[in-house]
Amino acid sequence: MVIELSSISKNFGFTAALKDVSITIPDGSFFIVVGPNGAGKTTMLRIIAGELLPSGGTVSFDKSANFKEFVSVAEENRDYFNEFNALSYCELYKFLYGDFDKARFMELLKRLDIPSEKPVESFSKGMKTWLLNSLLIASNSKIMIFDEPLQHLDPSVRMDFHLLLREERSKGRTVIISTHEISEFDDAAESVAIINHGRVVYTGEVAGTLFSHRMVPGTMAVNAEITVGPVFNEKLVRTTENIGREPLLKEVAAAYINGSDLCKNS
Amino acid sequence: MTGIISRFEAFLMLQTTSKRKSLSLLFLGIMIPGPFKYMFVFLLISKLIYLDIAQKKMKMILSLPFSRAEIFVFSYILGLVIICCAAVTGESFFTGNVTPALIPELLVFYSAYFGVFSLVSMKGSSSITLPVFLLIVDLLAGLRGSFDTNVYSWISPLYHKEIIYASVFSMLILAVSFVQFIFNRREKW
Repeated sequence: MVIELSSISKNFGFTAALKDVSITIPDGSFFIVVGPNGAGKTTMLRIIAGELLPSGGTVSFDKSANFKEFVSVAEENRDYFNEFNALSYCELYKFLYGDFDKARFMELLKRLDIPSEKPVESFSKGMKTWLLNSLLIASNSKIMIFDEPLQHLDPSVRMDFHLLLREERSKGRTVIISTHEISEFDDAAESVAIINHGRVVYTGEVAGTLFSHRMVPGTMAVNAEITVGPVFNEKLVRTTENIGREPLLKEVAAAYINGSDLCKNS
Repeated sequence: MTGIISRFEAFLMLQTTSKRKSLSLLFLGIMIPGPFKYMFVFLLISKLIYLDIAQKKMKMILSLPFSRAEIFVFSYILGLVIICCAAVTGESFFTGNVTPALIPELLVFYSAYFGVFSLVSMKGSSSITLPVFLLIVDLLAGLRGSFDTNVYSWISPLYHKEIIYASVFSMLILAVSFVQFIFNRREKW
């Protein structure tokens, strides 16, 4: 199920949260969305999930009239329904997702010793994050959308989550993640979109991106047309020539964000 | 079809679990015979879509596989079922006599104010002031003059002196709010 966003814009009053966003998320891919706070990442995910209607542009999917049935979403703010406990969530998701795996869900809760009958409001932030992540994994939905899924999780649980995602990916499920913690996902992610000030400043496959960019010293003379942006005392350039060193994904993101900031300010 | 039924069950479960206490109390309130039940119907409406938007729960509901139309319709049906069951049970229990006009009259009021509350909440207001103000205007405007001279009392959701006209008027408000809810691109959730 390919997801295609064409010229999407979204305004909240006079504030433009997204401007002319066009991206394609391939079927079964691991797609990460990165960008600074307020860049428009969450708004974009909310539009993909069907929570918000775009002010302009279109979101299209593969011949699927009832797209929402195939999507499960874990929101960033870890909000919860009043009076709900983990078991009520389980019942709710069983109604909503035909393939919901209750046994899997209970097993995932046990990993963090999350009590199934205590109200969610008594949970720590990490427990709420894990509860939502577990619901998405157990839902067996075709597409999983996570907004900051590692927030408030300790390192060992994060490792668990990475393994779980790898397992789910092998089943052909599409994973879309918005995150600030790019380095946590640079091994697993296949495609990336970098957003700044409501615009997609870069999108592409991770492997191809790392291959087609190099980090060079900031003082090195290079053609301005291939210079992306600075990262501390280095800069990122678009080239396949063997100069400088291969960048990290977080450096690519930082360079595109810094570069677009410079363009905006100049 | 089974998908819609499952989603309706999910929606009922979600609403009745998270609003169990208030819905139970309002059910009892609507059972009371006489005009007081309108006040409880009014309060019941404020606990449906309006409360979900005011408490910022709508975006959570929308993140689940419900379409906007389903949320509106399911919410309307939930209120409708509570009102019908409570009113009929209450009248039967307390007076032993259910008048045929009871349910249509309640539904005219319910539909109109369900629409009003939805429209108000979509405009970003989490205050109940505007719906209460409109209820007072409705109350006062319908009181003036006689049946023949006060045309408003014919269509008033509260007085509904011509039930057909009043039904059309309330359905119109409901339809406008439904369209607004589905196509509103200036979401406040």
